[in-house]
Amino acid sequence: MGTESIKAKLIANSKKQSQWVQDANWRKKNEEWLDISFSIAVKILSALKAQDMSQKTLAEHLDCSAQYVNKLLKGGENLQLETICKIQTVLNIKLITVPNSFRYNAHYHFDEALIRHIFNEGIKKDSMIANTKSANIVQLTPLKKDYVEAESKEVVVDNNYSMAV
Amino acid sequence: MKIVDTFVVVENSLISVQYDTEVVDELTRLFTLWNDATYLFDFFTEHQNDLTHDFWNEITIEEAVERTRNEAKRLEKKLLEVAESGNTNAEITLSSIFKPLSKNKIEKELEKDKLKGDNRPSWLRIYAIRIDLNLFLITGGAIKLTKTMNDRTHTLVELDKLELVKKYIQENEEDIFEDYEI
Repeated sequence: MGTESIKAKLIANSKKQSQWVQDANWRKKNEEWLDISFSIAVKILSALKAQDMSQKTLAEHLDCSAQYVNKLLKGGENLQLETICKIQTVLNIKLITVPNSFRYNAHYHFDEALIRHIFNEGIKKDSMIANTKSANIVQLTPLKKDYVEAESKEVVVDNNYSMAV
Repeated sequence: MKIVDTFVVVENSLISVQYDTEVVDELTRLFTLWNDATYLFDFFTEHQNDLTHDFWNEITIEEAVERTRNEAKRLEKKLLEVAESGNTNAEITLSSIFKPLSKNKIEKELEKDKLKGDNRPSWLRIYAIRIDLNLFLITGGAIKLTKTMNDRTHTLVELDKLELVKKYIQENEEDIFEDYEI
């Protein structure tokens, strides 16, 4: 039998279509959270093994079904934060951490001393210009009054300010 | 084991076999397993002795699980990309990524081939029969941790599947599915 004949018969006799392409595209589209879910599942599996705890016992502690635990341990479940925190408590392990919150707009470099000075002086104008030691000009417009009043004791800067240096 | 169906994966380039022991075709089954943390954890726990071999640099079970999935992710993207591009670009076809199963056994027709992951070394394998430059019939796949396929049951089964599918193609007739069993 020639190659062309084999090709023709194979293609004609094959069903359309494999589930794989659909699965692969779904995995690609959801890659970011699937990566996290998978790594969490691996950490839980490792902890269960180390602590000699069954999936059934974990389900009882979490007050959920064994089927759900089985599903989440495959590493493809979009987990709720509440579930993750419960598992952390039950197994006494850390599954996720959040980077330290930052107080400054990461896109700009702020002169912390200058901003602290501005707030401490209680400047509450709609716009302002201040000179820095290096003669750079910092312009903040517009300035939300209520925001400044509420946060006047803290150095907090968000996107309500536009800044030109 | 019998072949119950073949499924088109990518038109005119990739076809995947389904056996009566499974509910989906082989390509779907393999990538489902390689994305299943529990399956991989159990697999590497069972084959932990193979992981302790110097060749694998004493990798832990957890590392092996993560490594497998990451490699499977890349392999999945590559396979899909090449299968699609191979229909129009003669320079990048499935034949450029699949290699003969045995180094010294290049066959003119219906060659038994393998596709490896991109880790060096890699333990991921997809097995197929080459029909044409850019037409392959997927027979199965495995995590191969030993030097030869004869060393472990799960890789020996893959050898049998390759042979079964090759015979199926050679004698391809309408009611052929019932005739081939392992």
